[in-house]
Amino acid sequence: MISKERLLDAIREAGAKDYAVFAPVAKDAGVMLEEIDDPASINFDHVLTVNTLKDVGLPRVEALAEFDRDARTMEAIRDDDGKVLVFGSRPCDAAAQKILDAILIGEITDSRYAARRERMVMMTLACSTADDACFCSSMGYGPHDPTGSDVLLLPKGTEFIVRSHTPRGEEFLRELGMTPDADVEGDPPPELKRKVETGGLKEKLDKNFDDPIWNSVSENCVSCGACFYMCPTCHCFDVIDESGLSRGRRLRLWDTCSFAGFTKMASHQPRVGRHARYRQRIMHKFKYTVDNVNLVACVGDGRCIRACPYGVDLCEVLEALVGNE
Amino acid sequence: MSRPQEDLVPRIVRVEEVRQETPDTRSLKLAFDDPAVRDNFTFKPGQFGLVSVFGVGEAVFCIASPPIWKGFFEVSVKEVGKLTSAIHDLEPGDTAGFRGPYGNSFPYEENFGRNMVFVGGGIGLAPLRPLIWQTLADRDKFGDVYIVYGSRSVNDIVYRADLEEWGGRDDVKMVTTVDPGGEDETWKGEVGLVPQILEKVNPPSDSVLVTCGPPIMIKFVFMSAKKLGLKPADVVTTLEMKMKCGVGTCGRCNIGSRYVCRDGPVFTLEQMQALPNEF
Repeated sequence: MISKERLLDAIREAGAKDYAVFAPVAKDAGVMLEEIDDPASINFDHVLTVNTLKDVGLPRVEALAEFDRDARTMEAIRDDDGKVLVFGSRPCDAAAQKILDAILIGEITDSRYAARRERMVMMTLACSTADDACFCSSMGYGPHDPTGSDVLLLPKGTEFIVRSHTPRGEEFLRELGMTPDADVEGDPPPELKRKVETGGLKEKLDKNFDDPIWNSVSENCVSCGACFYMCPTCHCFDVIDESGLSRGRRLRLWDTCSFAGFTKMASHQPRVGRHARYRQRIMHKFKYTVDNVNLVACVGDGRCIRACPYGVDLCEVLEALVGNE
Repeated sequence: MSRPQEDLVPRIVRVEEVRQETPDTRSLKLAFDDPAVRDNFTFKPGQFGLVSVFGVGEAVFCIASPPIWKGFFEVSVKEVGKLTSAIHDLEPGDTAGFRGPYGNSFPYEENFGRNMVFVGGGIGLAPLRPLIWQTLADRDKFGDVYIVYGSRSVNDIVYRADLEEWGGRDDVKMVTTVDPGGEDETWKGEVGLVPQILEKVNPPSDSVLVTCGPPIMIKFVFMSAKKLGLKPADVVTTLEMKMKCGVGTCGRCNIGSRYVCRDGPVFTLEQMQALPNEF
């Protein structure tokens, strides 16, 4: 068991040992996961951070290279060195990291993402609270689930039980002189009000590509992209140049299948209509990723539900798809 | 290769030659600046890469020359937007970027001994061109070779020198066509849509057919192939989708669970029948 004060000291020590520390801090926009200098600023009582771990492993804007047309050069830019401690993200976000790992590190590897993951230690804070949008347990995870975490901290009163779940976690705890706790039970996990039954969903998606249900479930979607931006597993990106310059950078930016321009070519648009784009989003998460890496690309963090300005509720959509004959 | 391709950073290429194919299409002969890269560059017919104009961006183009032509490679680019017009602005000696090769390739050795039918429409001849040249280099390893090429009009015909050479060979049965209304008084080929002309050519039902063209043409060629009695596993095409990475991570080019960049761009009709109609 470790007290909050001792925990903050340990994070301070990690900072002194050259870890860049990312942790939740309260901001005007809500609690954000950001790189911090002073562990005293860490927020402990949020449900979820507004942003996700993508900001650490797959940043929303990333310079890939610098070009100089006149000098005939294109030099790669890499800023993926250095150790990173991610402290205090929630189990759903840690689980999302596992999903991104399966997609981006494999036969074909995103070398920048992989390099960042290689140097990342995940010290996750298990949940004491949940809100109406949380549904991680329906996706096979839970408020105290260790998936993706190197170290999981389970709340017990005002203190934390320390559990190591990977060799990297063990090594990290040793480095900071902490010991994992065995045989201690933490506080019970919070009850989730929201549950969605997804049994049979994959079988439905295998067959319903042309079903009219895609029109009704996407009716309220305005293709704003808020759901993708907030999603911990959405990882699609665009590559663009800083334009009109003979010297500049090539950038990688987040992008989403919600936008019509995503697949639009000069002479052809294979994915026509909002329903088709919404279908792609659901299919990608609940069928295509299952087909390719045998994982559902949703952890039930509920950010898309909280973020949608028009009340599109993923759980309701999934239920409609499962119930559709 | 000195650098992993997955870092999405192109290598420098120099434009060696520019050839005007049609009023809106140019072929560029490109060579890597770095001699080691140039000498070690290998690919298979059907593979593609991304061409960059620095400050404008990059996009996917098939490699339009066969791997047996060494020291350079070609891409053919139709001017349709910002990047393609920037590519058209390139002149011999200018710098561009290239990364690749990516994707799978056309089936080749497994078709030795078979009759081959190449069906191209417009600039869709570009990905077939390396395969046709490769096949002709190994001509004695194949049965009959048919080439059906169609364009909208006489002015839209690409690779005229190639077509002339192929058509002049007595071991190639070549038919060219233009869409109705696209002919002029000098036109000696067929007039009609590619699928109709293909049916008229009537290649044997045990042939392997390889096609590329506008998506709508591909769909109709599939129907003609079916009418001609070809097996779906022997009908091959190559698809185009918007791509940003080329390696299966940017999430943009999928048709169902398959990524055109990684699992394609070459698919058989049999494989495509298992995919949703979203291409």
